[in-house]
Amino acid sequence: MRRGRGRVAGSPDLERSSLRVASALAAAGVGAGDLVAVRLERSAASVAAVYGVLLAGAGYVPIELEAPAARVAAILADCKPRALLASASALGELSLALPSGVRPVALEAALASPTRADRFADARPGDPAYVLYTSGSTGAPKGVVIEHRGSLAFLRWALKEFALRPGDRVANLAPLQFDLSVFDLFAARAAGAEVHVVSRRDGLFPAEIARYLRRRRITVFYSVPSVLASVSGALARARGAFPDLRLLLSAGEPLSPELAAGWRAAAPNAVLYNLYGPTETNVCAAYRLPAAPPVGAAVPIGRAAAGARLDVRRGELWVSGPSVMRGYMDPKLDRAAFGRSGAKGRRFYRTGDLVARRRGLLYFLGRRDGLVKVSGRRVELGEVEAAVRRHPAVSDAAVIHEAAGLAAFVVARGGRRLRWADLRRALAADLPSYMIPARFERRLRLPTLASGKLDRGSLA
Amino acid sequence: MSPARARIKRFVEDELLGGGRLADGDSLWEAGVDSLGIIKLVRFVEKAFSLSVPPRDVRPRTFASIESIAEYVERRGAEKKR
Repeated sequence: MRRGRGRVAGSPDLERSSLRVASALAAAGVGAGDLVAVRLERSAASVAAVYGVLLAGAGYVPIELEAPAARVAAILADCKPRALLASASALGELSLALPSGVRPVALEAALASPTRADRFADARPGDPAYVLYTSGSTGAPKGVVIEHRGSLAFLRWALKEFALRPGDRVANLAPLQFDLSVFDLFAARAAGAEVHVVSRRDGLFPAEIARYLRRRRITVFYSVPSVLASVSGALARARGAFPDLRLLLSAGEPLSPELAAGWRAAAPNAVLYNLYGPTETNVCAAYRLPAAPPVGAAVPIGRAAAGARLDVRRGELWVSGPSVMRGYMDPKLDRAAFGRSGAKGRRFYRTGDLVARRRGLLYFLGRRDGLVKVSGRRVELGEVEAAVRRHPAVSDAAVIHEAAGLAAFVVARGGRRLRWADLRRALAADLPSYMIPARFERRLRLPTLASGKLDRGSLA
Repeated sequence: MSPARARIKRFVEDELLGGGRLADGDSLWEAGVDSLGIIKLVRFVEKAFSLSVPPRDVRPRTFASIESIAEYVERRGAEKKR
């Protein structure tokens, strides 16, 4: 991952900055194979910080800025990082929640720290490059451990497939905890391209994202359909709006033919790809859209990519190959996640995604369980339900995903007063805001199927 | 405080910040409002004040703070009456 000499716009001394961060981390006792939690505002400096963590031989664990303190504490307790890299002001607020053994390192101080003269210990191929936390169905976030060799398997494939080159200007809009950013930060660097980091403020406003892509003459953009739809929707005149874009990558949610057609008109010189892959496998399937307008109800997720082997077992997609995760941070979760198949008992990650194969191409059909996407981010309905049930005035709860967002159906505990504002406040202490239901409805009881299981279908 | 401002303040504090307090001039994104929060906010403004907010109006300047949103709502309301 350290090949190439890509640049980051707005960070003229990128190499020195990452070296300083690595030096500060090494001085704090960080070495090869360790983990460093990173909680930073998206910026050129945060990219230097991530490069610095890797330079020190460690893997990074991004924690979203919006995460409430309880979630930060749960992640730190789960992955036990050697250090937490954050701004000085954020460290001040978090210091009470910091478990023993986690050294706080302020980014401002790290960027000013003296550089170390001797070499850093190199990470081994089997060491973690990063640990990404996603929503877990049992009520706690789960950490996906991706090793260097896994990440490299994806990056080598991406560099070749997309022919990234030094003249490319790659936008980075995805936050670090979202694996789209792995492509933005590392493929661009290896190819000697330039990364343009969209600030958090601009990233909140679709019209600003559109303006940014135009003004910076971005050539490569990787995002999720819900963001792509909001960006193209914010344009007064979509046709030919992004003439510099040569590569548009979509992943994280189903890409509709209408959205693809809209972007084809907005970016007439761009090649469009629909990529597929849960965090646990990185990108494992890809489909390059033909020049002809897409037809039918769905854009396929295509064929195996990055050396992956894809099996369809009773409709569910199973993935094995070099880019698949080592496992979860909590090994107890691995048993349900992996399956063995074939004469050699190859290990497959069971995606839980239902797919169909038509004329050699895979199509995403839906989920087996309660995992949904809210603005491209994974939400296990079970995790939200568990948080709602923890409230003392709640006896039972079910959460569904509807067009307007998440909706919670709540059964109150007898004799307790239940106010939505109180419940919302309690949820905000446990969950990131995108996981908090947009709508609450009171029910006397929840509908069940003959099996006794919750009947989510009848709530919709 | 204008009635519009009070309603916006209540929505931002209760729905977006989980009960946290925010001064009228404080920056929404520095307080931790994310992109989904902005979408919720736009939907709330449209519903609560019977306005349609075109995407080009969803800008950092308009949706910077409780104060700037209240000004926007009042300006749009005045345009409608004219």
